Amino acid sequence: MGPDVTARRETLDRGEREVKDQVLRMASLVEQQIRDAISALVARDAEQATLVVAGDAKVNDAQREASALITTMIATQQPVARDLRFLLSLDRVTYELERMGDHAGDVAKQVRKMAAEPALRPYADVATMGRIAADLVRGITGALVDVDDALAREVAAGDDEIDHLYQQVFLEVNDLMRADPANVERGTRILFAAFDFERIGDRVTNIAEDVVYLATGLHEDLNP
Amino acid sequence: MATIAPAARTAPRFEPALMRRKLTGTLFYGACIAAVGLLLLALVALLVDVFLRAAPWLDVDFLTSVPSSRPARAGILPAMIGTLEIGLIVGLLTFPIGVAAAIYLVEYASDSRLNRMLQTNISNLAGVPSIIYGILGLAVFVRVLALGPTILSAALTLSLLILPVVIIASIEALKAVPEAQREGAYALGATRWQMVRQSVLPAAAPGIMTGIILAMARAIGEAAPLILIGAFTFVTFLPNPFEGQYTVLPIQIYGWAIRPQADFQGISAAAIVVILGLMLLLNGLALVVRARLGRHIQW
Amino acid sequence: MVAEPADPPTIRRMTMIADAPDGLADEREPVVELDVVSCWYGSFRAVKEVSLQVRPREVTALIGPSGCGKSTLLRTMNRMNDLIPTYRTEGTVRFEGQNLYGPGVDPVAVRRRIGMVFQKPNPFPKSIYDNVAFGPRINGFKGNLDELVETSLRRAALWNDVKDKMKQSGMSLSGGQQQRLCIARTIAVDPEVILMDEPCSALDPRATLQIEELMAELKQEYTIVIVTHNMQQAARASDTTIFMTMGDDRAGYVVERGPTVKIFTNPEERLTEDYVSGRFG
Repeated sequence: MGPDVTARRETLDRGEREVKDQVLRMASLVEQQIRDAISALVARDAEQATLVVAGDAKVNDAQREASALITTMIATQQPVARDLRFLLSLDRVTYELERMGDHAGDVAKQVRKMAAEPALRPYADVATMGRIAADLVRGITGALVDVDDALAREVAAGDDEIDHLYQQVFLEVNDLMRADPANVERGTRILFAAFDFERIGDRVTNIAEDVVYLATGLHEDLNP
Repeated sequence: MATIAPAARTAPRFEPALMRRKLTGTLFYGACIAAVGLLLLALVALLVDVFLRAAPWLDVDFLTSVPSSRPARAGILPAMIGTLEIGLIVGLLTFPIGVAAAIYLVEYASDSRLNRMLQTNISNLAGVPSIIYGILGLAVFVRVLALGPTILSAALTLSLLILPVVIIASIEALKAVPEAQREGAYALGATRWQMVRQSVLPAAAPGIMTGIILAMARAIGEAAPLILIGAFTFVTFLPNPFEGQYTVLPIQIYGWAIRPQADFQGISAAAIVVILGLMLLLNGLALVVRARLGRHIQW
Repeated sequence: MVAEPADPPTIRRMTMIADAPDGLADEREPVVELDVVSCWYGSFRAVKEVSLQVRPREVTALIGPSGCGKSTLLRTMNRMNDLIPTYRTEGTVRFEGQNLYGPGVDPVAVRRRIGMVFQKPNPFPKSIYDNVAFGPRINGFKGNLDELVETSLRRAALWNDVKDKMKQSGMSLSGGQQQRLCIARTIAVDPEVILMDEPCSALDPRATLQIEELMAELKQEYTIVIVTHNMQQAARASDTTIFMTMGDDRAGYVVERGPTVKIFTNPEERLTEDYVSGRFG
């Protein structure tokens, strides 16, 4: 190859960068949705919750766009090997992100319903779960940008804390619901919200597995 | 469930007979070598004979003197000059006419029956015996056009003789240029003439030049037509192209060779060596021209 | 919608165009326009009633099975078919609004503005310099020829390879380099459109990719129309794809035309889909 033509498959590389940018854009949207849901929860703000629910549409649009870009890349550039693994992994990542967005929206829906009534119990721990989840999303985004499998494993380990908190909330709320049937509805809603944050944490782990695969070519189960 | 064994596969049968095939090849190879060997042998024998006879007579005086009835003092200067003058005029005439005709036939004329007939006829003309051209030259140039038995008539006659050869060689050279070259020139916005002049001609130049040089070599080796048009065998002065007597090397050789004296045989052989040298020079020139003009060509 | 960056990147734009309702979201004037064009060789119709447009500064690919008239159609656009005595065009071929086959239009002038690169690289048996300078010289270029040659070679991504051997024969280069030399000499005469007739079919895969990357750069300045029997190449390198096939009367016709992304992800016609997925009989 002569020194003139330094750009090998620049179109492909440029396309991959575009796809990656789109995915990162989407991740940042999802992170923001989670944080907004937390803030609505803590402030018991039905209006903000409604905004979060409406905001999920943007996440879905971003996912459709990312998917379309990936389809275009595969159809027109015939990627193989590393390029193909990259694009297919990112497609899975957008799926996980979209589901995360759904979970954030679900939390907001619960907040809307809970806002009218007084809080059954402090939401502090649930909010903490949410914050950890949002931080995990930010962390995994960073790992994705650099395809850093060490960071990905570290982030995935952070999911344990969410799980732990979830166990605590579960036990506590169950106690409260057993104590008084009038608490069941509010209790259930708190459990749903907590569960959504827990699922977000799990999905972060899935993304971490994709990052590890991209980096090492090996499938590792980070969520035993 | 019972399994049925498949039928045994019958392999195709070969009878290689390798020894026989190789033997045939070797025999053919041997026959080819023998043919070449015979040819070379004959050629070498001829050359050795001529050189041995010519050796005592070849010197500078020989090249610069005029013929004389005494072999010791005879030279080939007038014959050389005659040959060179004729060669020059022939070259100047056949080059433009021959190449232009070839260009017309290949690049401009449509591929019609008429065109193909023309090319066939030109090929046939190339095979006509040279003495016929002599008769033609006598009638047309010497008599009708009243140019008389001069170098000019001889040159015109010989031009007619080799013109078909030049045209054919040029046509082949032009046809050898791939069509893709012409398309490439057209695609850049060339007119037909520009395409011919800038792309096709330069690419065909080696073939054309080689053809002309070799045709000229043939022309200056001709004796029969010139005898008919009135070349002399004994000319002692330097000829004038437009009037007066002249002679050329082949005729001078003839003139000396028919004399019985051994000395004349000697200088005849010497003259043969000179003309051979001239041929060698021209052929060498053709090679050099071909290499130089065709240095970029790789098809 | 997600906030758009100021200048939509290429793959995104291609995808967006593919999703647009009629697939042709572009309002630019076409550079070359064919209006019910048929191509005849004597009494045989090779191409039947084709209408299409080529948009400026993009790569349009013509794909289809062998013998369906793609090359014939391509050569109609720069009147190269005029060189064949029995050839005749019906219909209108417009270049920048003007009828290419109108009275008083000189094909020689057309060919300077619509250049062509051929399937087998055909550099002249001259030096590399003279190859590139050929076009400008015969078109009466007045100016700095050295500069023009260098610029053309740079644009064709060949300058670094040959700058120290400009006097060497153009035919001494490798296949891919020869083809880039042919591209350089084509752009030396400053055309608007570059037609390419299967430019990579005689090249190895790496040289092919180099030419494709070159096309991606060239399309910023020139409109490119490429005939290719390599579908993957059309998918990789073109913005618009036109699919042609041969009818029962052995005349070629256009089946579908659209943005490349659409043709290769979700074409309108079943025939197109069969062809691009390799199921064509």
